[in-house]
Amino acid sequence: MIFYSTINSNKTDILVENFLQLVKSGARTDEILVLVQNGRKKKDFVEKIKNNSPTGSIGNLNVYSFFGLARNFIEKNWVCAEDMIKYPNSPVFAHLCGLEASQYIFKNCIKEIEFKGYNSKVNLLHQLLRRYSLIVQNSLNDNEIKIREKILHESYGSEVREAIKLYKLKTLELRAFDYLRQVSIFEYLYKKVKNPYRYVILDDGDEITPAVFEYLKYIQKDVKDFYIAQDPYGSSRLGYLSATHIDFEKFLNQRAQDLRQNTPKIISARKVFENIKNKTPILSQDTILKSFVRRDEMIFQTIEEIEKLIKNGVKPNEIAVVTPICDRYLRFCFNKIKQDVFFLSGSEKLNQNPHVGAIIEVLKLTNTDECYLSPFVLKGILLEVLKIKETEAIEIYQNYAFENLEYKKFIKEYLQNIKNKDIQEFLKFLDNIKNLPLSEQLYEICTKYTQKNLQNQSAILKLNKLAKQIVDFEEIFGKNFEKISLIEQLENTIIAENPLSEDEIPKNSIIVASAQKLIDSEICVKHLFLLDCSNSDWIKQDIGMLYNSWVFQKSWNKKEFKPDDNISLTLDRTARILYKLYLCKDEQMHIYSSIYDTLGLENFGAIDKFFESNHKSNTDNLTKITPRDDQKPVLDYKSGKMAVSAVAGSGKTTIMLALILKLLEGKIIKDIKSENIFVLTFMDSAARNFKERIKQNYPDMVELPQISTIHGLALRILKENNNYTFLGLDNDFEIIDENKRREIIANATVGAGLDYNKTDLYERAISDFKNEGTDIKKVKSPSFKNIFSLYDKEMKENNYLDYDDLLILSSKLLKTNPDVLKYYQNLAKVIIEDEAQDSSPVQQELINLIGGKWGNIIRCGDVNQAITATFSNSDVKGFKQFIKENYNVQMNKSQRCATKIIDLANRTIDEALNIAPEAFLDIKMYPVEGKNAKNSDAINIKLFEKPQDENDYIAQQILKLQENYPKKTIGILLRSNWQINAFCEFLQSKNIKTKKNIDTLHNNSVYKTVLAIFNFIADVKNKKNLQKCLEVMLEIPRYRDEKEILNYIQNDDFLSDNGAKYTLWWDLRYFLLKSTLTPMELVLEIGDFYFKNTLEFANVSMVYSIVDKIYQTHKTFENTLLRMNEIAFRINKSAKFYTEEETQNEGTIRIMTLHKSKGDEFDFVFIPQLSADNLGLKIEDIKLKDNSKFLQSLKQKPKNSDILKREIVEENYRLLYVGITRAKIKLYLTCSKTFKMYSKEKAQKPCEIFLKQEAK
Amino acid sequence: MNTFSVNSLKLLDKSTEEFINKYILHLDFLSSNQSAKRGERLHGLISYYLKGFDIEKIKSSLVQDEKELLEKTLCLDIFKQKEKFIKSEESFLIKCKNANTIFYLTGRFDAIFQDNDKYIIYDWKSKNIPQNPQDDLQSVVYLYCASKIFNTKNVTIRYISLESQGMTQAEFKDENLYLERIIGIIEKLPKKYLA
Repeated sequence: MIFYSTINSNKTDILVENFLQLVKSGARTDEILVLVQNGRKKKDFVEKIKNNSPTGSIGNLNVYSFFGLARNFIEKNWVCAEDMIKYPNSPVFAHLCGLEASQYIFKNCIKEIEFKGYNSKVNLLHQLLRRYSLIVQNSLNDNEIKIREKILHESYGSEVREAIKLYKLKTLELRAFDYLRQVSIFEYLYKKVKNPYRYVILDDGDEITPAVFEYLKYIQKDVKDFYIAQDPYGSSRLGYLSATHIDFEKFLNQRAQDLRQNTPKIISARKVFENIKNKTPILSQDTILKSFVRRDEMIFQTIEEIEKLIKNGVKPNEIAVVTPICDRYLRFCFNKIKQDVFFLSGSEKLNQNPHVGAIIEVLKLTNTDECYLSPFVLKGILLEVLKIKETEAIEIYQNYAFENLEYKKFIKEYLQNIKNKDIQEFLKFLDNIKNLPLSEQLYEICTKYTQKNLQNQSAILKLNKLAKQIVDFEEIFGKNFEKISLIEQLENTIIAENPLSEDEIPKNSIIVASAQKLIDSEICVKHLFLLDCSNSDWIKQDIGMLYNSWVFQKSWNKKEFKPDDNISLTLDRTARILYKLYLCKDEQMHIYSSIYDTLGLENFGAIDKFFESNHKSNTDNLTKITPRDDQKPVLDYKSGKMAVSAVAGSGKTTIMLALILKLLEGKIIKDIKSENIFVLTFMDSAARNFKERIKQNYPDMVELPQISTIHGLALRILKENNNYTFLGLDNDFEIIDENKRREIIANATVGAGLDYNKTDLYERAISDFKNEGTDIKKVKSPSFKNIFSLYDKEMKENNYLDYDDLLILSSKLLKTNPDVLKYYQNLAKVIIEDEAQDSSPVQQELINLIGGKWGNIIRCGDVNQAITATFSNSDVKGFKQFIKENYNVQMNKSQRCATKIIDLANRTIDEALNIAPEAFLDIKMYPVEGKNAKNSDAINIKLFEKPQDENDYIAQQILKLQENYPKKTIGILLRSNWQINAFCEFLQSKNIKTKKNIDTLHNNSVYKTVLAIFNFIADVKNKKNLQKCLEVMLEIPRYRDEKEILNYIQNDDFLSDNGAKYTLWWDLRYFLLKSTLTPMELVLEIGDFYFKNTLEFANVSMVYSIVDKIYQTHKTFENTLLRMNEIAFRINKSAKFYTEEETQNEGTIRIMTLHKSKGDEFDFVFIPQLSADNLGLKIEDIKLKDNSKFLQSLKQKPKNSDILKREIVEENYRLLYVGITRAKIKLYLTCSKTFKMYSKEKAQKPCEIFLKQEAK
Repeated sequence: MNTFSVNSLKLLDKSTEEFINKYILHLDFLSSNQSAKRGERLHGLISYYLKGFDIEKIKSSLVQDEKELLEKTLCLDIFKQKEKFIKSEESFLIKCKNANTIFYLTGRFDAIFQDNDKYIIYDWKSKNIPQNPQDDLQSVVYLYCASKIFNTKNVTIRYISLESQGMTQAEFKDENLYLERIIGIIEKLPKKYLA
């Protein structure tokens, strides 16, 4: 009997009914095999049989999950399998172990095989296991595997086969079989043993794997009756999880009964399925679509919505949330809801539970005598395991931290001298259990130190899982494993990966789950929230270097595998998952997405694309822009290539936004959708700005145009549709930020025997070299070769990519894969590039590739403001050429600067024509009638004798300006970062308050606060440290009145109770005791405590991610903190913090570099210290840096020093031009004839402008 | 919690707290017990043997004293096919009802033999065999369950010591007494845990 029915219907009841009928009519229970998809459903099925059976004997039930079937079969019939194993030492039972043990075996097998040229060593094991899983679940034989190797043009085929063969032999020798290996033993075994089953009941027939189906085929001849429930739209486990469509009608040669009713739920789910397959947007009454800018907004909105529902009488268990990203941040936010929340997903590690983590540390301590311990961890043990009194625990671990600063002290040695009975007993206890097997040690520790109550149940269950794994190891390897390294492997066990270990779902909780878990558990709720719908993690990555889940399906019969196959198969599977998710909700589906993820990186869009909002934007809200005459041609754009040359202050951003909005309205190009518009900006902040402004105009717009920097676009191209596989890249590749890159290059530089100070140089050199694409063999410098190979090795071993790789690889991908290129060419109906003068050759190449089909390319910028060419890969010539060859709109009117300032700017262009003719294009700036300031004192060019005179003059002017114009803004623009700090200090001495515009992590209030509290926790005893931390904390408004605490710490031990009168004391003490959590959780705690404003809390999630990343490589709290301190004051390139829009700019003074000032404007601008050294405007003023020759030598066409000097002069002119055009009302250019160096005054040559001024 | 085995009932009888720790809080941490492992091995091999599998290969890998014990055990009369072998390692599940409570008994018979109309349940003991088998809780549960499974009161349980090959046995007596005793133990468990 076959019947069609869906999940969350009564299908299981019908099957149970059939089961009971069979028994009633005389069948023995041990003749009936019941197969279900997973352990939870097995339990459910058994319960239903139990409930519905009459009293008396129920019999011997054979209800198994697909994996459990194999396990049980081996348990019953092991002796038959043992007979065919040639290795000696036959055990009575096989070791049916968890994945951890078999991974340990596999790891050792790989060591014996060289995977030549394979790029990711981290992931090799994972990839091999995935491949093995596919082979087993699809029961592929050697021949079938070889065919697939050919289809995929695999170059590692034979190595992979050898590794798997070795693994199979080794597991056979040890008789150690995880759930996958069990399936392959089962396949052999069932052919040797008489089949005991006469009836088969199969629930979830649509999720069956080929391996299980092969078994059913094999026993079919003995089976009297099959009872199969199947959903023709089901099979959500297609792909890696290896479900397969079986035509059961054909298999049994009978017609299926359709039990599906046309309920609104089923109709709506089916519509979702069909619309996705047909690529028709889903517009449905039961679906609410919302899109947010930041992820935290999305999460908070969800929580708010849930709380509202509960207030209106919805029960917690009628609500579920599904997301592929169930990270700590999300967990933390959801745990703030007052209801119980149960997390049914995610890759939680064993040691993530603080108690389990502490127990594991105790286990490590047991087995090592001479070891150091992170004081942070020691505290965890003291508080979490030994339950030592708080004040005493702090004292003990702080002293340990303090002593560790001087010289490292073994932890046990330290503890021996502590006069505390519990600690002494603990040490004795450790000594007593030292010689026991690991499993017994764990048993003793848990029995003695684990609290026995229900609150601790989650820790207890995890400890049991740990115990099970240790027992596995002891049974398999006896004593042949290193205890410590085993503990280290096990503490990182990801709990959810083992399909056999499933926690029970509590009855009254809100469920937060992954899609597959919710479906597998057949949870049905009234309100289902799907979060992160724009994140590509929704669409699972089913292809890796060593496995291809589609081609490795039993049913694969094509001769080729193309990118399009992947896209359509993935789409099919996604349709099935969403179909099933729709069957999990009775009332509302909420589809939520955000433009940015937790790290502030953009989401590329995923399942949100399938839906259409039923609220249309009210067009009245649209920003109305009335263009000036010189701007109008931009908005009149019809098609083709167009250049927009826009002078400073000409309103370029506004016009570009207007153009994008006009495009979105469909008024320029017909049938254009937002996904067809590609906008490239130079800075992330600009991309964000565009997005936020579009969002303001279209609040309900779910999919925004592709607006990003070139790196954002490149990342999308690499990641979307698993494209990276076509480059031979592994899916675990990680893009490293500039900080990480610098760390690696610094290590390589020092490793090659060079001075650390050379790091800067090699950062640049490696980038240049990569972009040139020269062969490393052709490079002459041995030290470069050495450093590069060290860097390259580190990158490859960890599967890292840097930003250069990102661009180079994405362009390579497009050039070598016509299908992929076609995909983007079809999409990109129009491309708009901002700051085109800074565009690099790769960027221009990408634009030309992607714009190849439609040819609608708009490039905006100002060649006269190209100020990054001499130190980055930007190439202003490309844009100049583009202007020359195409329709060029000149936006040359600007209402920003006073007319005198405009004159100076235009004069600068004219003057440069004589000295450096290539510096500018002759595009002059014109005022807008009636708009620009006309003051006669706009220009102040002053040369001083001494630097002090210059500084005093500036300070005096600033004070005067502030007095006369308290609301106006002032900008101080300097040549380099180091000048900024000195100048700030000077102004401070004059009581002038400035805003530094150096973008360091420490400038972010969240990072600063977290760092201060971390430093505090690490060392309370150190007064200097304490003082620094407290000073930072005192900046927080709530502690404003507690400045006295600084005096208190001078005279008193911080921890003494005398501090109790300060709230700050209590709060810090709170965190000191909170810190049994991991550093990451501490970040969230601190963030939650101090940063209530949502924008700030969004930054908390970024600091969290930064700390998480550091902790992964630096392992301990102390080392993580060391690194956090290290990067705190460097230019921040790792996080893209959200900042309040500068609304309260009035009256501020900002100091920044000339480079950084681009895009800004100020009422009054000072450009001090304009010496010829700082800004040479003549060839003879330019001194090339020592390393420029070396950098040139890495290029295919090295430039000679004359050309280099000329280019610098050109760029200096443009830098000056940028500086001048920042000023609205007044501009001050100053310099002094001498400068101070080590308290000696030396003469210096002022920049050309002053000489001309003097001549006048 | 509504399903009980002999072991869980024994623990509940001994101490409610220990029962809750083990079966509800799962505070077991898998303490490994070497002699239990040895018992499991011998059980396993006897079962393979009874099912008619060739156990020579595995037997030869056993340590000497286990091998000797196994050989001695297999010399016992029961393995000489006087009684009819029915099944080994057979799981069972019995639904019981008392007033308002429904509960289940579960377990596994080491071996079942049949002698004419009599069903004989064998239980291999790696350590001691019960000296008062009639009163032993295991006899109570097993005889009660076996009588339900085979629908007869003609049931016996025999305990065989794997160490000494000694034997004690108990015959089925009174169903109501058995049930009363079982329920008496189950009632020790606070109601909130009884689902």
